[in-house]
Order: sequence, then C-alpha cells, then structure tokens
Amino acid sequence: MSTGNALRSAVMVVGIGSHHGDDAVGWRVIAILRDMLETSESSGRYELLTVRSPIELMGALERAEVLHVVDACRGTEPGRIHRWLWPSPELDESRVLGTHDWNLVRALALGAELAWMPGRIVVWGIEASAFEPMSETSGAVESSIRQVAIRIEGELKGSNSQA
Amino acid sequence: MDPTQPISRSIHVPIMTRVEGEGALLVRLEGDRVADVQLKIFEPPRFFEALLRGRAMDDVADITSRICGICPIAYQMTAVQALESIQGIDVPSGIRALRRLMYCAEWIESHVLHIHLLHAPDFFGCASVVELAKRFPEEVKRGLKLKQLGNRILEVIGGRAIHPINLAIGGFFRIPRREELAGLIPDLEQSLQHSIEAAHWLATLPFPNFEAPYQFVALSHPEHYAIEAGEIAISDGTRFGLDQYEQHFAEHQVAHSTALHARRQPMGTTYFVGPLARLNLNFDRLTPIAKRLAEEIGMVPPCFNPHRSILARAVETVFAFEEGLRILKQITEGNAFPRQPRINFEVREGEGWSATEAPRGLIYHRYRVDGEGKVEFAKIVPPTSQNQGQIETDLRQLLPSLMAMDDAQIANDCERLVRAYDPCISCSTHFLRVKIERG
Repeated sequence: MSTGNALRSAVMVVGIGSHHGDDAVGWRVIAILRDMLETSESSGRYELLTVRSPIELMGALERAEVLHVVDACRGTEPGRIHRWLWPSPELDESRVLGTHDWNLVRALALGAELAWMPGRIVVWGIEASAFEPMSETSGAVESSIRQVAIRIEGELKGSNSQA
Repeated sequence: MDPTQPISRSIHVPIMTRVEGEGALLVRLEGDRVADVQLKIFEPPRFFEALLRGRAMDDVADITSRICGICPIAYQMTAVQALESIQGIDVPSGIRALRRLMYCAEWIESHVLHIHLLHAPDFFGCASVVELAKRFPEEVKRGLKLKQLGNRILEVIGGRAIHPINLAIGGFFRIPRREELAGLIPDLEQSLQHSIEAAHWLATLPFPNFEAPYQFVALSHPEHYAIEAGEIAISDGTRFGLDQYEQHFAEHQVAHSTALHARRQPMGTTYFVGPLARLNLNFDRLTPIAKRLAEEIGMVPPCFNPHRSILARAVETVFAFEEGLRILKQITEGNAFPRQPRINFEVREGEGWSATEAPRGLIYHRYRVDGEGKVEFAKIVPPTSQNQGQIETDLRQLLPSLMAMDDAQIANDCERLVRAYDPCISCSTHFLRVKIERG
C-alpha cells in the first residue's frame, strides 16, 4: 500500500470545525480564503478543505507538501491567534479541542508515526470560548477569523514567489 | 479497620477514553458486592427533538444530520423515511438502491474508525492508536485507507462526507452522474480484499472470556441483510412491525445520566442492539463473501461475547463493500439508474415512523406534521440510549470476577467492555426533563 509520498504536490489549507459556535472558526477561515483565492491567478495551486474531525486530516497529511491547519483552541483570551510550526513544544493536547477522544495533536502524532507527514505543517489556533449548539461564532473571534485568512493568504503567496 | 465490616471501594473513571463523546463511569463495591454501577453521560442534552418542532419537514434531514458527525446518514435516512411514510411516498427502486449504497458507506467509515482507532488498541494493551501504529503501521494505514473510501462514497452520493446534504424527501436533490459512480468500482473491489485481510488480522486477537444471555434486537428483512428496511426481530423469537416499536420499548430517565435509558416493555429488561445483534439475527442474509469470511473466522451465531463485536464489525465492513459493489454494478451497468432524482408529492398532515440500522444499532424516529408540512412532534431514539442499560447490566455481571484486582485494572477492564459497544454518547443525549422548584 502506497504511503503516497510520490504523489505529494498539493499546498493544502484545512479548516477543522463544526456548526457549534466558535468551533466553526476553521470553517469560516476556509470560506474567506475561498473568496480571496477565487480571483487569484494561482488559485488552482491550493486545495481548501473543511473537515469536522481531525481524523479526516489523514488524507491531507498523506497528499500535501505544505499543510496549513486552522482550528479553535483553548486559552484565556478569546480571539487570540496562535501560529505553531509542527512539531512545537507549545502545541500539546492541553491546547487543542477535541471530541470522540480525538484531537489535532493526536492526528498529527499518528501521521508522524505512519510517516505520512508533509514537509511543512503550520497550525493556526484561534482561542475560542462559546460552543452553543448550532449557534454563530462569538464576537470575540470574528476579527481573528479574517486576520488568520489574510495571514495564510500572505504565506501562500509568499511561498509562490519563492518558488 | 473493622475486619467484620465489608471493605468499600469506589472506582471512578472520570473521562471515558476512546468512546464517541463525553461520559464517565462510576463503580461502587462493598466487600464482594457490587453496590452501584453508573455509566454517566454528561454531555449537555441538545434538545434536537424540541429544535425540530415548528420547522418545515424539508429541514429535518439537515438538522438531524447534525446530531452526529460519525453517523449522519442514519439520522437523515430514518427521518426522511418517516416523513415519506406520512406523505405516502414509495421511492423507486433505483433511489432505494442508491440510498442503501450511501448507508453502506456510512457503515464502512464508522466501523473502520471504531475497529482501528478506538477498539483494537485494547487488545494490545495500547493506550491509543498512535501506540498501536508503532507496532502495526501497515494495519493502521490499511484501516485509514478503508475509512477514506467510505468517506469518498459519501461525498459522491451525499455531496460531502461530513453531514451530507443530498438526501431529500422523495429521493435526492441530485443524482450522481453514472461515471462518478462507476469510478468508485475499482477502489471498492480493491478495498473489499483489504477489508477481508483486516478481518483475518482481527480474528487472531485474544478475546476476553465474557458472555451474557442477551436479548438481541435488530431490524430483519426477508431478502436482505437489513439496513434501511425491515421489521423488528428479537432473539427470543418475537417479531413485529415498526408501528409497534413504542409498545415494546420505552425510554426512561435515570438520575446519573443526561441520556435516556430504553427498556423492553412490559418486563423492563435491557436489550442489545448493534453489529453483534444484527449478525446473530440476520446471519443467513449476509452477502456470500461476507458469510464465507464469517465462517472462516468463526464469527457465526450464536455469539454472546460482546468483545467479539469487533469481528461483527469487520464482517459487516466486508458485507458493506460487497453490497456496495453489487449496487454500483447494478446501477451503472444495468437499467436501474434512477430516471429522476426526486418524486413530487403534495403535502399532507399525519404521523409516521421509521427505523434503520445505524452503525451502532437500531435507530427509531417518529414525526407528526401538519397540513403545511411543519413538524409538530419529533421522537428520536438512538442506538446508545438502547444499549446503555445493557452496558450497566454487563458491568454488574463482570465486576464480581474482578474483585481481586487493583482499582486501575478494574477500571481498565470495565472501560474495555464499554468500548466493545462503540457507544456514541454524542448521539444519545437528546432530551432531559428539567424540573424547577421555587420556594
């Protein structure tokens, strides 16, 4: 069974989330990026995905050369933005959210164990506070969502110009 | 310490690991006596039944799919079929086949996830699949690939893998193109072989020796291994139509859990739903390759060991690939391709119900809609609320054999038994009656 290394080519951005309050920040960032990159000359170079559980990242881990992951995270300042390069000692299971006994850190650790890791993984965390079922994202994270989308777009375009 | 008094021990597992959702387990032992066992579900109740009231029935599939990210099809399909029964809709055979294929995909992705990520680590003393992957990287990769294909089938038919959006009352919003469906066949053929290999690997696991005299409950269909249609069958020989579900089963509240517990009526006994129940009740209607595999690995009825549910899931995974292939070939190579995505209907008021087999077991929905197609009432009984009572009964039976162990080992063995059921705690938290007293 192929590990897919020969097929790596994609620059992928994956938003993890749900419909429940601030947990949707990852999905919202992807929606904004879709609009931003739609008009970009290099839009075809990127794959943008939304997933609900970090386990769905495994396919992206296998295929991507560069992977940006956006997820809500724990913290004391709702809306605060974090940018971690994996692996990072600051990014441990106490920072990430998860259900079903599964979270982003564990998914990345499994990817590493299976030698499925992209060359570069950037994890974007937005500290979240409100998770009411089927509710909108809170005001505290609203501006952070757009900021993260802008910063990712900048990094994507920067990597293009370096290529 | 007074040696004449029994030693009292409380074993508390504050967070159950490798189960879907947030729950805890409390065991209280007094001497050699099991004083109390409580499977606690403390995820907040999500009031989906109340949320549905007043909504247009076209919204029901979208809303119910949000109950669970692992088995949204089970919720959508059961809801849509219940509403179709009110509207007097009998969908054409091509639509029915496509729906069954979509359900097979959900069984694949849910079963494969539970087998590899949640349950298999127990058999090797691993705390998680990350540890398991150190010892069995190829087996874990194989499992992840199988799950990815289940997701891809859902994307093709359902529009997306997570919370699919294509299912509609009367059919689908869009029928996938013939070539989209045909494109899945080579991967399904390969994955069928990989799923057989996975089942043979799992058959070598050492299973704890635990059995109980279960009353298995599942849908049963005279022609097919029941997924989306059939009558209710119980292993004591009882059979009845879905219209009698609520005469035979009733939910009640327990103080320690936000999820309701279902029991048989009128005797009040617990019962067992899920892959092991299905395999015991419907073994002779498995597809040929799945049935042969089950015989080869010794997974034949009667089986009363819940730990062997992992093998039942493995057999059903093979079945789902085999049945999925049959349907794909029938639809794409024959003349069964649906001619139109959705049949039209005029809204009528009434009450209707449906039951299907979610990956974790029987799921039942009942709705009442008014003449404008608005939902007046909704009742949703997920598999885990039906299994919860049985899990506590099992733990009471298991615990006396564990008394000599230390608390950590007792907790470990109890968690392991709970995990064998693949409880989906997220799904099971659907309604809590709240009483407020004011002085």
